[in-house]
Amino acid sequence: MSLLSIKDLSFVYSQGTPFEHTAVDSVSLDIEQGEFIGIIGHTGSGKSTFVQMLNGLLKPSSGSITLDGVDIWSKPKEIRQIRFKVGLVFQYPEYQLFEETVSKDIAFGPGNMGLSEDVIKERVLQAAKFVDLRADLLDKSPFDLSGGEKRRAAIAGVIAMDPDILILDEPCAGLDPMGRDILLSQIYNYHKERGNTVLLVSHSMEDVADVCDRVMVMNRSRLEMYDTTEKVFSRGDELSSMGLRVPQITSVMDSLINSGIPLNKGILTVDQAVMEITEYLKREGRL
Amino acid sequence: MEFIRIENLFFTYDEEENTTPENARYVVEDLSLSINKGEFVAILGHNGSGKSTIAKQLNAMLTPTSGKVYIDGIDSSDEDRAYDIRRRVGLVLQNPDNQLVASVVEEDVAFGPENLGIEPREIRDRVDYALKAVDMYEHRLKAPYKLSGGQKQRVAIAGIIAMRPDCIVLDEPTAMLDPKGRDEVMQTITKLNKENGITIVMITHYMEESVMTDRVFVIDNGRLLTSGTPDEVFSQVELMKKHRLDVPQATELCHKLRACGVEIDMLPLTDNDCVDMLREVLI
Repeated sequence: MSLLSIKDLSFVYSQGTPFEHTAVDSVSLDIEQGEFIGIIGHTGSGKSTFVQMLNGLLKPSSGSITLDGVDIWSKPKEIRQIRFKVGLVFQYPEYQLFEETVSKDIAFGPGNMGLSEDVIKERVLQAAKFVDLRADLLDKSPFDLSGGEKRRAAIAGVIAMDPDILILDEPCAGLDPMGRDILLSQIYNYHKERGNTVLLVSHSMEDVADVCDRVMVMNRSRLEMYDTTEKVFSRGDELSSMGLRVPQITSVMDSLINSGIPLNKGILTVDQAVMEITEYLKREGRL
Repeated sequence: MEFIRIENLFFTYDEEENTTPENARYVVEDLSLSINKGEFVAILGHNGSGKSTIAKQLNAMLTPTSGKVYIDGIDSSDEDRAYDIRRRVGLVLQNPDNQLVASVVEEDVAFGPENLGIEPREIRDRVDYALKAVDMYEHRLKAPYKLSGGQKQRVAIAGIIAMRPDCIVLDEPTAMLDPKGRDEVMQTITKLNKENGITIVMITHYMEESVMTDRVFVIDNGRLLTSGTPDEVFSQVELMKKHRLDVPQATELCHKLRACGVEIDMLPLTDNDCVDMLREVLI
């Protein structure tokens, strides 16, 4: 059984008015426990509406979401429990920090779950460690942190709920290149260590290529592709017709292959490309 | 001809009365640079390096704590002339949703010239011209919320163009856009520079975008770390990485191949140059 099973999921904004707009149209897919999934698509393709349905912030207009074998809307009064199981980190989450201290802010989610003080304390420390927030920052006001630290504190607040599924909407937006790399590898390590399922919404094809096992491609409210990262990024022409593209390194390698150099397809990162090219030169006896 | 001149600029956000030259926390420290009319330059730097503060100095939203900023020869610390500077330099910010004010695209573009007290007929001409320049004329009667991110950002740029500036400063204009939106905005900016001769200063975290410019300035902790043509700057791969920046993937690939002993003379900056170069090496 899949961890998350989505059937014919649709969401219509302003239904029955002249402004009616179908933001998500008949999306079906299964997500397995422990997968790291990228979600890409043009602005307005339905990505954010889709992820807000997954944690019960929006109620589907039709279709169903089954988590661990249970329809999340089977008991609407208990939808709060779903939000503990499916943690959602919004875009620019640092604007949502509000507590007096960083540790209180991180403790807010687990506090709402009715956990004991000791457990909460433990969770706060662990979550802070995952995002590499120094212990001395925990007693500071969140508003005294730098932009990058604020972002990580906000993400820690969701990680502290220990959700089965962690969803991040553009977590790296606005960070400098090294900030992106560091945050991305922290999320990846969290995923590896805890075995939790992670969904990453991103406009950076390079980031998605770096960490994701599988990729969902949304286009005009529909799920256009759902496949391994390698297979999705082997369909460059289709992606560009949807306003997307493949990582720069993939397009460089594809052009080399197209000009007749016998390299393997499906290169997603610079390191893979370096390996592929040096091995080719060694086979040829030229390196 | 020189258009922007920064001389020994120091800037701190600390209140003046609590600040002595010794204890001030400077966001920009002893920065000097000059940008010519018609140039297209990029400013790179890590988060908190002072890039956005520099952008705001260029249209007198902020003025120097010490040192000088001259725009078209006008001293930015002369308060009476702030208006003259803002007419010459328009500022475009990261989030298009925070910059659009009207409920119809063309009204939004007219907002700036209206405030300049321009004649209605002339406003009409300027709005049409500006919308055509960013390729959004056919969307002029739409509501901004119905546009994609890239389209909204182009409308924000049109709002600046309608004020007929000599220079546009853009602070991470593509940070919130999808790949297509990023391409649209970059094409628009390049066109305004090449065809309309507008001086462009672009702050960005995307290395592939700064490759398209004439000159790159790298800022680190409020100081100028290095500057030069994209070729000169991005060939310093180690230096860039050390300062939390990056180089385009194509450049990094060739840099790493060279370290493995593959013969590569010049590091490429774009996909095409990289493919051409590697084809020579591999065939």
